[in-house]
Amino acid sequence: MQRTVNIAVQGCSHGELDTIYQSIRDTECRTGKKLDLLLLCGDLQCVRDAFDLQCVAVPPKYRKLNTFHQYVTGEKQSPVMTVFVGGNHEASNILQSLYLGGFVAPNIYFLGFAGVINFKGLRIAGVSGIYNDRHYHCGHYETPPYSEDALRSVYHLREIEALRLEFLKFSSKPVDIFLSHDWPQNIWNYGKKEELLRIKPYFQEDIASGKLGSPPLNRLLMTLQPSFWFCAHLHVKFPAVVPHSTGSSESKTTRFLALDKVIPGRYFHSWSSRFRDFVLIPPIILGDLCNI
Amino acid sequence: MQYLEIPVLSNGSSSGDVLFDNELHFDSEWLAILSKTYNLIQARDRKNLFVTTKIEPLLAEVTVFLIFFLIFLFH
Repeated sequence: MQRTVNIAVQGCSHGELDTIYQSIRDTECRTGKKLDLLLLCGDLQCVRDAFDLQCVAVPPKYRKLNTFHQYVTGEKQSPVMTVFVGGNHEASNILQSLYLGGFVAPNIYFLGFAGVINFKGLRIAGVSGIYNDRHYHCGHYETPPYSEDALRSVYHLREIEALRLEFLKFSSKPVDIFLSHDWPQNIWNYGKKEELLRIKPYFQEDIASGKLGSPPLNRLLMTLQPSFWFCAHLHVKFPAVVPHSTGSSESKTTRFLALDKVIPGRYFHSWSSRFRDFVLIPPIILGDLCNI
Repeated sequence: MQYLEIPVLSNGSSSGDVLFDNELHFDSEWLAILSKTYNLIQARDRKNLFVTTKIEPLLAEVTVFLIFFLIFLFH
């Protein structure tokens, strides 16, 4: 017997929790469907106080308290179970204290620097941060209060996290959903690359030089072969379908989707019109998910 | 934002301990991986901490010294 899990996925959040939750409430009213899970692909900026603000790697003019602290104190309630991974604009002191994952506020769960959970039968894996080869082989040596260098290196992906996730290839159960902030390298070859370069022409140089995307995430994508992969970071919507060769007659694919951030004029222009930009996918009957 | 509807079995699968509201669970295989790789990360962190805090600053100082030495030598 099957049931449906309704999931919403958000790209970069940038402290706009109120906007995201309001949008979910509106969508629930509009569609009459109750959302089960919200996935955030990083840059939540879970800032509680002034000290946390100093641990966010953003220029001083962008350092805003926003409303996350109200979810911590209970002044506001998260209406839906929210799971997120870290990005490159986070209160890194909070995330570092929850290295293996944990609740940053009631109903808001951090997956950890790398983590795997099960939600209603779905296996959700995720990795925080972005790739930088300078710190990839290092340990996590940073401690708050961070120096200017540590403020950035703290969110760089480390080899140990990628290695641990790679061990999931020996697992008996496949990964259904993978969350990351950074893009896997070469993912643009599996979608409309020309369209991507039309929207973001300056990606051309980075693609050619191999600076765009994360090589370890590409390896994880090919190794774990999750059914869905969601990410954010580059502030552009980009879908792709990655075929995998399984060696048997059954073909497996990963449906990849990179999402934009919450920004006026794109996805959240106004309450009345923003739904035009939402794609409500009808029940997806994927062979591997039906067999869970 | 993107919305998905994913079908799963009605009884779900609870392969780990109950974490929250009987719906969000730890992944038991992941916990095993964390356990098995714990020593690995400790050893790696110690090694890299030594390189990051001791060797790299030393190399930087030696490099600066060499540059000034060469400038002095060929001046």
